Amino acid sequence: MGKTAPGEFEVLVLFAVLELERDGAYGVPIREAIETRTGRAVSIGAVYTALDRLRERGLVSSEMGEPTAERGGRRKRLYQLEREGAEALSESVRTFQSMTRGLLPRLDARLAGESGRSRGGRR
Amino acid sequence: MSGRERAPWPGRALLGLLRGEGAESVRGDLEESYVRGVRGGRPVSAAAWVLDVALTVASWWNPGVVVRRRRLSRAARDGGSSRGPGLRARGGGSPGSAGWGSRDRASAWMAGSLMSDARQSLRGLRRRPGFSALVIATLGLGTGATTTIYSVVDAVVIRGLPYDEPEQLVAVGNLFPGREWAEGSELQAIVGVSGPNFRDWRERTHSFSALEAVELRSALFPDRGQGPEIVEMAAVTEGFLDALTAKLYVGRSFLPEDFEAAKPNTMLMSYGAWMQRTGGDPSVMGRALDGVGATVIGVLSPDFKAPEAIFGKRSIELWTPLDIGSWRYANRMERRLSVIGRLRPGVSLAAARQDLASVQEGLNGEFPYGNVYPDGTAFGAGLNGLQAQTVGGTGRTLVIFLVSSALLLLIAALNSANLLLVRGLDRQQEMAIRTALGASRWRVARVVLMESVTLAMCGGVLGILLAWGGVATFVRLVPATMPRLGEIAINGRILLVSALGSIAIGVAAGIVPALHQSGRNLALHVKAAGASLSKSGLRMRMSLVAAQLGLAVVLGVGASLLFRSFVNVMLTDPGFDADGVTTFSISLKKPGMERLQTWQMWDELLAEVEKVPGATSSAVSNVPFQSPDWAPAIQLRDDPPSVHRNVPAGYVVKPGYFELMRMRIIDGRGFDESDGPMGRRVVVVNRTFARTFFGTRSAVGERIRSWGDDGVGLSLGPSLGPQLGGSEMEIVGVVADAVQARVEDGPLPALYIPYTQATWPFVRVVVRSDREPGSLAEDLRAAARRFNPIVPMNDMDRMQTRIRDSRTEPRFRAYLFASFAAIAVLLAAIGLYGTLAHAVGRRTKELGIRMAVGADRRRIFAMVIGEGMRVFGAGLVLGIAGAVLTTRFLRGLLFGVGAMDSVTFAGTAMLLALIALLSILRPARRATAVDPMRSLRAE
Repeated sequence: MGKTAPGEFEVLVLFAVLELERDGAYGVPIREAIETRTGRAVSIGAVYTALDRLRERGLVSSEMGEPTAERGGRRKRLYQLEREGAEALSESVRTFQSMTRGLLPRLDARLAGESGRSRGGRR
Repeated sequence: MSGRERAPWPGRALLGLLRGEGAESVRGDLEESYVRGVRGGRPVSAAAWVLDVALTVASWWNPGVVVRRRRLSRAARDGGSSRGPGLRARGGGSPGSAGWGSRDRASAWMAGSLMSDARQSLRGLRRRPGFSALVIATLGLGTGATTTIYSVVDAVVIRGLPYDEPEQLVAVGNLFPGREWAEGSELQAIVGVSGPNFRDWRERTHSFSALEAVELRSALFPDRGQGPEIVEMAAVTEGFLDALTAKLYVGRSFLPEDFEAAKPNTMLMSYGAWMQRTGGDPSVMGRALDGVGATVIGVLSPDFKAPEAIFGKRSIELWTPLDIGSWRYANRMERRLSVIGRLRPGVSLAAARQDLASVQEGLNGEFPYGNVYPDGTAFGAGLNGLQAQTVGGTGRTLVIFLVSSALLLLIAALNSANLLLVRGLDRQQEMAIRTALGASRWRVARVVLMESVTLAMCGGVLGILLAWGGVATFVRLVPATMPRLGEIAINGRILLVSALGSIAIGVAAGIVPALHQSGRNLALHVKAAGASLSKSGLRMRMSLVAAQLGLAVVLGVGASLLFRSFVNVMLTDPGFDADGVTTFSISLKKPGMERLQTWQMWDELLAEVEKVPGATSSAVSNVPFQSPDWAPAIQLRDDPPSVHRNVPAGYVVKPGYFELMRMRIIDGRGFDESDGPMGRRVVVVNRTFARTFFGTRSAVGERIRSWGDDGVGLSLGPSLGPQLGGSEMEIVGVVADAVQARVEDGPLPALYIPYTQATWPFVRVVVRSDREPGSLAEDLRAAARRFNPIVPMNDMDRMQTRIRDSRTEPRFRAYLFASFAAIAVLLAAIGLYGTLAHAVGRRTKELGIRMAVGADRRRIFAMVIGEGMRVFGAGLVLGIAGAVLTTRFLRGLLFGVGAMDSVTFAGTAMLLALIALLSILRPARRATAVDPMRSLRAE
């Protein structure tokens, strides 16, 4: 089924892996990174699901890390961004950027105008 | 940092179910997140989070699912991206992934926390106000009833008495031979104690840190400008108030010298009396008040409550020292004292009972006079916890109320579960889609549970509001004799219990629908998309309805039994004509009377009362609906000296009493002026007395003796018996039975002796008049004042009022139960109606086809009715079985009807059958109104 562009949430996960991979990117910090940066509540299950899928598609790879005490002596599964992952991420961002170019001011204007025009008309 | 923090064990155990490749890292991540949450200062939400995730994981624990997951993960490992999109859409994922959804939208949707579920369920409930209101009202009623009764039980039975270390306090007393235990309870039937016995107990027992006595007296107190009034006064031994940890508001407490006989009298006032009688005037301190002859030395704290176990509902206004050494307390036969004790720390009730009993046994050997009857039977000694003594038999009744209200709550919960199931049917599609998108079983169940918990909490809030009104109503309607009535209130603990209870009810009511809807029969739900009612769903709903009906039958039978008891109480002939009868009592102690016989005092008193125009009057020792003060022991002519027979009530009457009360003389004669002090000793007995002791023989002409002429037998009963002179008495007449203390006691033997042949220092005047009560009362008061200008009359009331008051308790019980039963039946009927109506609505197509192929309307009608009545039948069988098992707990509350009364059972069943029939009539009619063409076209 060839290449599927990563979805919005998958993009967030890929960026988090990119951010964290030097210090060790695994479930807990990835979730925290997304939550801190986006301000949304993220279920850890969603993170695993996304990571699993990304791994299946070869966008990230994983290996087992070292155990720590605060994990009850269990090892971490550490993720690395693969070359394919980096390409997919880059392409996603570029696509996004090319679509947004020049339109953001207009979007802002629209939002400002709308809130002034009909408050409470549409949520 | 040591990694000491561990996730809560249920979470860890559930996570242990995770197997396979990714399990280790996932479990590690969860532990780590938990630990971070704890260190971040949010231990509770961290624990809740772990449990939530763990439950999600556990809800996969379903063999089929695991196999599929294994297969999927193997495929993932082998072929990576070779998986088809269809498979992925089924929401797989490897065992390590928590399977929260496989598309980004789904992830975002499912990513929410419990809070988002809660918000979502609130939104959903607001969209269906009718459904929500019904569930909330149902649960509100159930919670309200239960919270109300629980508040009462909490105040009366559970909460400790308002003294320090109340569990150490005991009520102590002697025990009559053969009457050691109060009927149907764990309580010893303690009675008054003589001064010498009390002093010996103090010296010889070891279990008590304090053993104190009290005697109830009355005193005259000058009320603000109103002249003297009779007030209740307690004479107490030196440690009594300390044993009850009473505090003073102002002034000083008793000192040892206050207890010496030679000292001038001192007294303490209750705060209420001080405020009410003197307006809180501090200058009364140290002053001797007119009429009392005692100096006020202090005022007790407003928080202090006189123990109801001893004083009942009396408000004790004055406290005075009791001189235990006085002649008044020198006779072992005179059991004047009530005794309380404080157990030494660590001494159990049983140990104290044993200690006391063996001391009493020693006393019986040493001092048989007053302790041992001539037939060798001897007094015992016993004690009860002061709280148990206070609550008495009421505790049992309250527990019965509480259980009934809990049954009501159960019905409400079943009804809500039923409604939630119905709602679930309408949401099958939504749930199926959620499941298809990869929501776990727990996730789906959680949505349903969250909804029912939200509803239950709203119902709980409503219930608490209802309980607020309910408690006020309860206190207003309950008989004033209820112990600790003033302490009943809703407090924080009750609110907490109620709130936790609501949540539990929510979970309980939601669990069946939740499990039902999270069942993984996806294909069916998606395809059927709510168009048909699953068989198992209908069966479950019918079972819920049957259970409700069964519980309603139990409550209905209980209510019918209590109602019939109440009606029986109403219909019982009191044995006299209460219409226009007024009674009052007055002290015979007044100067110039010391040398008179009591019957002469009665005559002087009645001479004054008879001057009241338009009234006839007489006098008696005790009137009906008042506990008899004298319970004589007698012997029949042929009884050997050791045998005696207890008669529950003895009355001293003035001739004319039977006529005034319009009590029928059945045999022989009543009393007349010839029965004088020098005349033959005569007695009139009631019908039950004659039947009990003489069977069908005529009692007239028989002779009886008062038993225990050596002295002991005379004092059988709470106070002194009349001095009978010990001779034989001849029965000259038999009078119809009249009520003694309560109608519910049934007819009991009683005997009447003429006032000229007994010494009885109290009197109750009875007056019959058809005059207006207000002016009559004025005239009577004036007459009483002419007789005794010092001590005012007291306790004036009308016989009709006494009768009415005596009915308060059975009426209250009957109405309370009836209202519970009515709500229960209503809820069950709504359940039956709703389920059938819904079922018929869902089966429109089926019914249409049946009709199209020629089923006639009558058959369809009969079919639906039959279905409904089958459910009712199942409920009825359950309910009757339940009632058979439970009505015996009502036995003590019933009067004139057995706990297994078949008429009541059958009548209740018939009434409920009628209601059930009415509630299924409409759905059945609707079923026959189905238009075959329309219903098929709707497809």
